Amino acid sequence: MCGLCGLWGETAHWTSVASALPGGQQATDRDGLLRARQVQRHSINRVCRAFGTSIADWNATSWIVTSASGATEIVGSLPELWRAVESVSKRAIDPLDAALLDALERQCGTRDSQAQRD
Amino acid sequence: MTDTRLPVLVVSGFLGSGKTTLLREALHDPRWQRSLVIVNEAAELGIDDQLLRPAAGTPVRLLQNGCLCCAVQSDLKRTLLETVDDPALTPRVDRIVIETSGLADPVSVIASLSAHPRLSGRLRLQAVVTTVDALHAEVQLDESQEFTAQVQCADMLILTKQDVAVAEQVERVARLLRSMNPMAAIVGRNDGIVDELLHASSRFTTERFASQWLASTVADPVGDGYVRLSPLAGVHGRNRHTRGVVAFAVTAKRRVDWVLFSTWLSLLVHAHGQRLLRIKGLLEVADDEPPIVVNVVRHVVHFPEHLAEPPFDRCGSCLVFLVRDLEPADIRRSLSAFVGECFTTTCQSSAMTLDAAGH
Repeated sequence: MCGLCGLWGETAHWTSVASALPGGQQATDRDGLLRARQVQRHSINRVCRAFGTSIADWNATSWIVTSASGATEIVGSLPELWRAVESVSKRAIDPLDAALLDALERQCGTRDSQAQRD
Repeated sequence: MTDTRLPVLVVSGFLGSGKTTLLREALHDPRWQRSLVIVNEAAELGIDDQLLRPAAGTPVRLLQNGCLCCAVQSDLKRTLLETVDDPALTPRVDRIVIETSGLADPVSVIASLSAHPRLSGRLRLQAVVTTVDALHAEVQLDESQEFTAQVQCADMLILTKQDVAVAEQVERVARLLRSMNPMAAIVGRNDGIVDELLHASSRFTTERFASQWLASTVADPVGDGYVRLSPLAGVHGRNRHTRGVVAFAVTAKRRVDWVLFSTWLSLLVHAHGQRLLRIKGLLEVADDEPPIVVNVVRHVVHFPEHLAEPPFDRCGSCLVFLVRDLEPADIRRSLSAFVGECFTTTCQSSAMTLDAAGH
């Protein structure tokens, strides 16, 4: 257990950013892991925005999920994170939901470019 | 880094489909004698271990009085932990073979191996092999959800009892199996079956199956888009066993950012795990790295691994999906929205032209 935050240490989950690095790099490329973690946070927050929630990185080991009303959960892996987002937002997340995909596509402008092509 | 985990072969199949007979034949082969065999029987008094023991000359453990997928799941974990923690046993074992009961859903076994932190670090699920009784398969598939699950999560399907079935029936069953699980290799019960099993339990399985997955997809789908849909070659029509089930492939010509992809996949599994019958494929994540193998069975995602050697020239990323009650076009759109052009660190596509070749 971490003496500072009280979190239990866990073994690597498949969604951990280190999971896809070839073995030798996992121990040495700390900066690469932090950059990947930043990309992961950014991509998750795109989804969270549609649910009035956001996440923050805690020491590259846990995620802090917070709702607009201040409800907060601390989680370790992405499956736990999605459950926490649903819990604090009190809504189910569906990555195939058209409204969510509309929102994501608007965020990166792909919907406009798609419409122009069509 | 060399993967030193002990490979695990799961042998599944419906009641009376020939699992034990197949294993007895394999265990007579000297190449199989460094195997630890774990046999599960739903009956209170098991006999399969007795049938295998003389043939094996290797350790045989019996888990009886319940199915691996429910009643004796904790027994399986305990047996596997005892095995990997036994310093006298592990040097004498090259692989673990788990024969499930005829009524077991192998997904629970896969989940036990993948989700348990100590087991996943010491054991590597190599393949799920399912025996199929060619004579009775059509009736069994009608009557048993367990058998359907056994077929859908298999990496290799072995047709047994071909000698007592007529040729048309064998062909019909093979077509049916292909429509239910287009990603699995379908092999006959013949003289070379022990070699086939050995391949399935070897460390080269991933590379070998990777070639088969890609061979099962349309080689050159129309369009130059970033993420494309392809109908699967050789999957003809639908039938009562595949109602609501769709098989399709998604390809990407350029590299895929693993972080973005895993974020998307984790959410897809979270929301629709029960409908994701299988996802298998390869992702190219960087120019100087071998592709990553993706393998999903419903809620269970295998830990990602790099191929030791690409089994072919680089040809982009390819994922084969087998889903129930989900629309391929929705999955393609979702994948693009999560992994597409707005994160261009690895994906340099200027436009996500999505060509739905059909579904």
